[in-house]
Amino acid sequence: MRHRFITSALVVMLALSTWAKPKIERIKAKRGSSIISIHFDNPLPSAADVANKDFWIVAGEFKTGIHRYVVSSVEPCLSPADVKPPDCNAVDGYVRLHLTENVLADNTKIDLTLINNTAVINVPAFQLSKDQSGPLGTSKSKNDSDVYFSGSYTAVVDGDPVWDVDAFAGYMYPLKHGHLGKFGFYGQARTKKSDNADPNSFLDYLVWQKDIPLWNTWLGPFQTPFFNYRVAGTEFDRDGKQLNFINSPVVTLPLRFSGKISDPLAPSVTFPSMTLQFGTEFVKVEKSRVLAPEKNWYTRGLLGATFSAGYAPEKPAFDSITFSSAYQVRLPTAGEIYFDKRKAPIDRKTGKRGTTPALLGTQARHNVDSKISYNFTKYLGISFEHTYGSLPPIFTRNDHSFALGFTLTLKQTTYGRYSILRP
Amino acid sequence: MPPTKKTPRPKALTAAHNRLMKRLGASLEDAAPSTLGHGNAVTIVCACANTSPLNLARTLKQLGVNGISFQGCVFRSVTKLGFDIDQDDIPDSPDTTLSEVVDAIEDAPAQEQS
Repeated sequence: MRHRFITSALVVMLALSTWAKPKIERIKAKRGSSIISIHFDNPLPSAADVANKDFWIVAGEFKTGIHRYVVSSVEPCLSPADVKPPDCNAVDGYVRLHLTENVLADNTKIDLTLINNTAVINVPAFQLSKDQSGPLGTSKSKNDSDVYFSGSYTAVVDGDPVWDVDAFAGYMYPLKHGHLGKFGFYGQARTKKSDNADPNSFLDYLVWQKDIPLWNTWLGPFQTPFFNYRVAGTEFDRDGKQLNFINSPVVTLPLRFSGKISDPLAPSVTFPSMTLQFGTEFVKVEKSRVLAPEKNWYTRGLLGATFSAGYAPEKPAFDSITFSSAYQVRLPTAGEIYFDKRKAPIDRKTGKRGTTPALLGTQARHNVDSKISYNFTKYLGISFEHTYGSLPPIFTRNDHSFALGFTLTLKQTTYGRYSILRP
Repeated sequence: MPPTKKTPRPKALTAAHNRLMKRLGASLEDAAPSTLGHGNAVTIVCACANTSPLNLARTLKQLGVNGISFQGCVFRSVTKLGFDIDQDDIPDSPDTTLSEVVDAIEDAPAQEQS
């Protein structure tokens, strides 16, 4: 009986999946062209569901009315059977509608409706781009600048509130169209577990970036590594009493926890990936809070890793959950400043610790920052963050600290943050 | 087994073959594409993301692809095939879908012969 029930459930599920409406991912069209390309998301529809010219209703909108277009033929690129040279790969997941006339120059929007034997799908009207030759839809253009801000405020019962501010801005410019890499600058302000919102760690760099094509595309799970050379940079604290000049080459090796992904990936999955970093920081102390030798150069070995994964069902009240983590360790070759609350002298009368003194040491400086973000909507959610360790220039050691706060997520435009600033 | 002797090709046949190749070469040059084209663009983008065209609708973040390495790979592949593109014209943000990258590169013009 139970087997029969399971079999019936499977049959129903299979039937439901075959009834799934085709999902249109994006559309491309140009004024002055008679072709409209329609890209479908997985699971791809069969040609029988979409490749009939009578299934499509196309209208162009202009300021004073609409113009109905007639589809003369549909060219599918949906399955290996559709492969036709030169412009249809094995499974491209799109169809091209050939209209009997070109899209008119005064059209501002295109309306599309698909009516096949099982479903009616109306696509919201798409705005034609202002550029006459531009594609329809939400194509992204140059993403060479990057601004980021993240912050949280945590009230503490019978204690000081905790601020966590992390902001950066940067710009990268391609040299000789990109043949010689990119050159740019990045600046970052950071405070962690502070009783006020003033940043206490500032970093700014001039950076040269170039990928290193040791292998052509992928080597198993590894992408090609790339090189970040922080040609000149400074690290300084809030009151400017500690100032370091930095010169730092770093190689980053990205990897994904899989070789080739051949099967269609569900839209809700964010495949786990990592980067590994290897580098050095050549440091010149310009100004120091303690009696460290100023104007001297020393070296920090630098190793790091980042990890990220996520799940994004994009349902009401549950848009996504993401996990990201970054670890780095700095290994100074000479005595370097640090603050450790555990080294603060204890007042014998009150039993409380006094002011934390600045100290010098060559011990390894670890820093871990892990964050789980639960987004109710695409841009708003709550995050739970764990931090441990210390960051330059003054390396104030934070014990394991946890923060819970609201997060506003902006659309990420580049990888600058993780490639350059971590570390 | 005795070593096989390479039979010399008759001169007339070689000349005919050369003429044919020349004609083919000429016709290939005539048919040289002026832009990269959709097929090449899909092949490059999928190779650089190490995935199949079934995932053209997925973003770089979803596929666990690093944008910097991916952008460098696409840039090298397009220019090696003899087409012109600025590296910054290749989107590399985590929220970029592979099909958006295909759109961005498929109209890359052929490099001018110097």
